[in-house]
Amino acid sequence: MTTATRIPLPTTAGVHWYGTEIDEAIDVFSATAVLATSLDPITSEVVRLRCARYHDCRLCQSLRWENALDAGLDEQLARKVDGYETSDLDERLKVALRLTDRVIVDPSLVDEELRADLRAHFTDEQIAEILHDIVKWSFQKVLVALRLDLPVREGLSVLSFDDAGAPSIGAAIEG
Amino acid sequence: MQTAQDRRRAVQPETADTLAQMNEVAWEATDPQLLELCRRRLATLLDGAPDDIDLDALSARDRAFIAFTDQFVFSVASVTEGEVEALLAHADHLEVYRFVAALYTLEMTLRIEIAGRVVLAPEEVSA
Repeated sequence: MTTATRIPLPTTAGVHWYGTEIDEAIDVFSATAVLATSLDPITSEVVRLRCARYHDCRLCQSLRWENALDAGLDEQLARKVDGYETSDLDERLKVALRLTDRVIVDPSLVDEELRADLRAHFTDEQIAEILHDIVKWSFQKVLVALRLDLPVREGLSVLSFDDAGAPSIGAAIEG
Repeated sequence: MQTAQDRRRAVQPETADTLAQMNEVAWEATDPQLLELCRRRLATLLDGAPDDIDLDALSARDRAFIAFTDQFVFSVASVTEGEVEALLAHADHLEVYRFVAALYTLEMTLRIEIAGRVVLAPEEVSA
């Protein structure tokens, strides 16, 4: 794994990324998005994992969201995200992943069939939350383009958010 | 008549508002003329807008940022060292970071707006 970043890593303590105004605005949006609660944590996590995989974010792929782990996410389920269409994942998760794929690959492919499938499983609020989650998790595109997506350790780590929606990377996940 | 964007704001107002604020800050984070050029490119690549950018008429700087935008949209994992170096030839690393963060903001907002036109459109519009 290359550890060379394409721009210098931030050096200022106590700020997120480079502490610029756009960082602050992204943090406010991200915190608001992560604190939204209309979706269950497993759905949010499979959407996050799909974005991480498609954009090839090394950091994001090395994380598992604590709330999803608490809700029963395990590696057997996480591995099914890659080949979800032929997996035995719940249809509800497959529909969320189809929306994720089309947004991050080619949003013009979102069609009436997908709309009907979404509406069979999700409320409008939940659909909006999936869309906002896709934007939030796709901040990884900035990190990937500039090779700032360095995992904190070999293997998997726990991702958690505090009551204000601020992220932190915690303990290694054994196994 | 309520649009899909209105619907997104109606059902997730706080998140939609902070995303709108993020977009406002994006325009202040980098050269707005350069960002407008790249916004037009995003609209062409993702939303079927006319391809009205004459690449031959652009400066080397603008061409470098457009080339980066193209790769960022189609396959961010395939952005090359050379494509980032081409940006760093015209801007310092913090300016490049702010540009990329602004581009991400506009690009992902456009992506969900395009998807939202279908999946969050009111019934009478969708039918």
